[in-house]
Amino acid sequence: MTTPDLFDERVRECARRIAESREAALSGLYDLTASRLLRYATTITRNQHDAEDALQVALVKVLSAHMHLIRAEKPWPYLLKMVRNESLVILRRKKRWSFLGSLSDLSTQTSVDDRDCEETHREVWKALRSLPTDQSEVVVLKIWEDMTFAQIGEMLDVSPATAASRYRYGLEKLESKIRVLNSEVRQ
Amino acid sequence: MSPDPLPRKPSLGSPVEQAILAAGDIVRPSHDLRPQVLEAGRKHLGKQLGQRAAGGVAFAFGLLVLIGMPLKKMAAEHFESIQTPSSTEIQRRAAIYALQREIGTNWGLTEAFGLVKQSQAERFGQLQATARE
Repeated sequence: MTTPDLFDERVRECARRIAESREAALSGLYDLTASRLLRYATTITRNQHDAEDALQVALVKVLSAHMHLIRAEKPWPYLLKMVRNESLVILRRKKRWSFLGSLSDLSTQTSVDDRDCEETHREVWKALRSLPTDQSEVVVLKIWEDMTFAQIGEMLDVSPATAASRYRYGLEKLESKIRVLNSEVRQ
Repeated sequence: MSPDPLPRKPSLGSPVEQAILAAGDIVRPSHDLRPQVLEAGRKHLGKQLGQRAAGGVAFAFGLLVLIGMPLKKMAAEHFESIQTPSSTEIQRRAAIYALQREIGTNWGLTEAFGLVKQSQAERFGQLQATARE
């Protein structure tokens, strides 16, 4: 298990390398964070292509803003916030709400063993996309990024109680949307 | 650096949470995203360096103009003061001396030359003293 603190330090280390050798070290940060940043951005933009654009802009900005990342108390949430801001900019510009029902943009990768589960995973993604962004991003930060409600609240500029209630509402909606899946998991 | 250490949280309670956790791993960046990001990074830094260089040149030029103009003025004044007077100027001074002291023009010319030599010697002495300091 990768603890958030350890991951923070790895992100900080990447930022330090960027400070020393600039774009040569950007690949290190990309390899370390791209998948996680992308799935978070995708829950906001609801479209992987837009999420990739947001990720690209944010990582390129890190080249100039690496000192902010090095000095940040928690570099990983700082980087997540950078990607979130870029995702929101793209979302505001494109207003792609019409893509809600489609998952055709998703570039997925599963091992042969997990191939049977892929459909289930896609259903989860579909359900996540149907949630309001403020709820879905709390759900993914809590579950995928293992963040506390206090950390989520700090990142999203809301109180921990608000973050917790968004999580609760979001999870309730997801439970009803993937009830069939739920019963399969229980078995 | 190992790629993408995705966090695992085995303690997640509900099946829905577990299903969401499992679904998080399947979305991966497109194959061409990595080279695109690195290329964009290279371009960004190149542009930044170009802007900095242009800014540096503009700053240096501005500084040169700012410092150069007063320096040029000072240098012009300095060279003017140490310049040997022209023959017309010497003639003019000789005529003034001759009239003031009621002497002949030739003596006036001698006097004028003498004063020029004297002032040059004084200036040369001052320059040497400044150089010694």
